[in-house]
Amino acid sequence: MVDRLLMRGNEAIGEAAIHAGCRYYFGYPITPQSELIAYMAKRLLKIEGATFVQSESELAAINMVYGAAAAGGRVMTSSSSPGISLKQEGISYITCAELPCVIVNIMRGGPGLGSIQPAQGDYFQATKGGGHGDYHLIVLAPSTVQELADLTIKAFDLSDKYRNPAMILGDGLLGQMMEPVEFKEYDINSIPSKESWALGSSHGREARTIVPFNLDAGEMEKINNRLKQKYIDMQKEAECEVVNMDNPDIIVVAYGIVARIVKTAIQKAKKDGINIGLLRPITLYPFPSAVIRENVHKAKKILVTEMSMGQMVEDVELAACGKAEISFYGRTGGVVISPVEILEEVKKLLK
Amino acid sequence: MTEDIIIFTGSFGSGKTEIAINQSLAMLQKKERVILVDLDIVNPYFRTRDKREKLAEIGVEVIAPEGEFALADLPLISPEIKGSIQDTNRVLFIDVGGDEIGAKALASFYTVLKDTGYQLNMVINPYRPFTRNSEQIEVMLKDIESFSRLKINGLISNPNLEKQTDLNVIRKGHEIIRESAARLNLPIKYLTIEKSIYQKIGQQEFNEKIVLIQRFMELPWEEPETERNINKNGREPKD
Repeated sequence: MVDRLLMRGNEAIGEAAIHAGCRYYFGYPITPQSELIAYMAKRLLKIEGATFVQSESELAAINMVYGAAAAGGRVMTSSSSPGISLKQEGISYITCAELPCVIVNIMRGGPGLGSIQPAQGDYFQATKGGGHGDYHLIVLAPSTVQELADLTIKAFDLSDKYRNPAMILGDGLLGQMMEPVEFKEYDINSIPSKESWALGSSHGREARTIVPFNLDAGEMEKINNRLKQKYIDMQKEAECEVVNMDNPDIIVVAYGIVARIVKTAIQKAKKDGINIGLLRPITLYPFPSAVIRENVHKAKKILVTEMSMGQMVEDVELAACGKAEISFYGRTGGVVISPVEILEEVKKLLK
Repeated sequence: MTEDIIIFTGSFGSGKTEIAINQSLAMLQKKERVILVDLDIVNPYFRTRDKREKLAEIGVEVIAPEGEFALADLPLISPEIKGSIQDTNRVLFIDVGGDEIGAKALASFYTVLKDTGYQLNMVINPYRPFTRNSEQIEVMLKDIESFSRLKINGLISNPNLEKQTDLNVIRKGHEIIRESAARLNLPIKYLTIEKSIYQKIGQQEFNEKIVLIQRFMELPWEEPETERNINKNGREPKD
């Protein structure tokens, strides 16, 4: 048996979840993340006490997640863009009920049924709530297959810590590509106990209920205040990779797979005597505003690039507080940005 | 046994497509007409059909779903495949989708293939999740055989961790394939090593034949070597 594995992104998420003690998975297949549900089926069915269900729909899956989370299980669901839209009602309910779970979105071209190629058009949906009401998900944006695995484990931990759903926001390319992965030691006994709040047998204790509502306006406001406090506390979890920030001519801000493409552009630009700095948000919520704010003054020009029409760019603008000139370059529909395109855009801005 | 119908099967992500493309191009040096069938009903990305135009230009005919369905995530099987199997004036490579699910598509050609004969190879990378040891490899092989209704008659050893591949990775992985070959009583047809890695580790002695391959399915942040690779390997484009 070999220790390192060559894994597809979707498989790495599945293995990481199992490694982190996830024993409940509910989902419905959709390209380009179907390998994840297939992987969970193969693996979980062989683990005693684990549950895998390919549900009849995305709505059913997210409500199964809701139930398993209320019972105190480490639980995950996954889908791709249109399927994530279907799950939004359930996600809003789970957040109101303050339950931990991990939701994976391997994004594809949108809107609508869109295309099956990679995209990043669900940033707003992921980071600003997505469903109804005042809430946020913890949103993590990996850019390698190894990071997909590492951040999946982290998503479970953060989700438990704040009793709030966490989302892995990847794209089709990251889900489909293969890279070597290693799984570090993880102590399942370190998972925080859920006995003080989870449902189950009420034998020998008061019966409990977990509900996503309170019909008394004042009491419902208290829930909102409690959620708000959590989002304030969460800000300390913000993470951002800072690359090549020694006297850059221009700073590019990108997340996920696009950040990797930017890294190739950085190397190409060096040959032309251009120094490109890169800020790569790893957490999209909480957004690493402080790191962005501390760095934007280091270059005259800032370029935000995404596989969308411009979504994260709004958070960069807020973080920069008008202290920098911010431009945007994006491709959509499933078209993947090339390093050459980014370099051309950089040259245009530096003219 | 026929030498001119060569089928690649194996677990999902074992390297079938890359090996099929490489072998088709190498065959162009020997044979006039080379056909590569993309029978992948599983993968939505990184398929032979993505390189179809370029391969056609060099002289490899690619059979894959066409037109509006080429990009659909539908399990389509091209109607030309059966004809290409019955045609004898060609060398045919068939790139099958991964796992037993992918191999299921082959079963639809069982009645033709049992008459023509075939080389059915199982490509194995022991660094992939469900073929990590000889027990798992045997399970996968039996599943593929039962779903495809065909018999696997050789193993192709493709031990790699992509860019992290080194001599130790190849040796350790190849040893698992040797164990499998002994357990299953099947020959190892060859050991594949990526050309750039082979250049790094220097010439190595293995009991099995070594086939050097080049990657065609690049990622957007990698240097686009594909066109150069194809031109180097293939025949001069006809005018």
